[in-house]
Amino acid sequence: MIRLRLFGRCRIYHDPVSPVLKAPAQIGWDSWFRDIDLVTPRRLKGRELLLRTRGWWTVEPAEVLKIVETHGKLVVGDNGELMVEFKDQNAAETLSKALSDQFGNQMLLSP
Amino acid sequence: MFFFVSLCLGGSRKKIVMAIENDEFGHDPSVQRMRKIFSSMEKAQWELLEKLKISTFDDRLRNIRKTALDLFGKSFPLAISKGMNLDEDASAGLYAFCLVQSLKLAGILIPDNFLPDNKQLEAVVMETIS
Repeated sequence: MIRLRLFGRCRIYHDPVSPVLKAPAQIGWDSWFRDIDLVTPRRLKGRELLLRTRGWWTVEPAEVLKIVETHGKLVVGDNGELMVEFKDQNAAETLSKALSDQFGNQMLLSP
Repeated sequence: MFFFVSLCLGGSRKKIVMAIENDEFGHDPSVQRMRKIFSSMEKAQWELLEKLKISTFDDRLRNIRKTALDLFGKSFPLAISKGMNLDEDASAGLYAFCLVQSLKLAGILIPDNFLPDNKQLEAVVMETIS
């Protein structure tokens, strides 16, 4: 099994950038009839982190998601990195080609 | 902001979805300059890795890039303080020297005279390391 980070190109500078989840989302609650003090930290899933790149990359992340999920599994790495998990290098190469066919050089897979 | 169009090319059934960006930042001269610099640095990096036959999936690349960026971040202001004009070509050249040093630190053998001769840029990087 191998994991590679998913990079898109920054909409402003066009250099490769990849999101990193620096801290879990803090979910709290409001209620009509009571106060709820509970705040639960929640790590985003890989697909959720990918979709939050909307507006930062030159391509639409929902379109990227469709392709990535047919070739590998989106995960958040130990340090919050957006990664794709593959069973072997062949699968990674297949996705790399599929991304290239669809988006030119706008999406990259790299350690 | 983005428009997605489907194109059918040459009568083939292959459908290519292209993202056509409404480039709202491209008119800014400072953005144009940074794009040229990053693009030259990226080209220098790919060429260097290709010459060394290092796979783009090589696990070592993550730390190698990190070290190269750290070195570049220190070398760049040093070069400026020495009055060097770092246009996109010089920036890419400086980055290439940083990347080579980072590759060496990772234990990768680099042939002599691997990079185009530029003693000024090389000296800046060596001074940063020392």
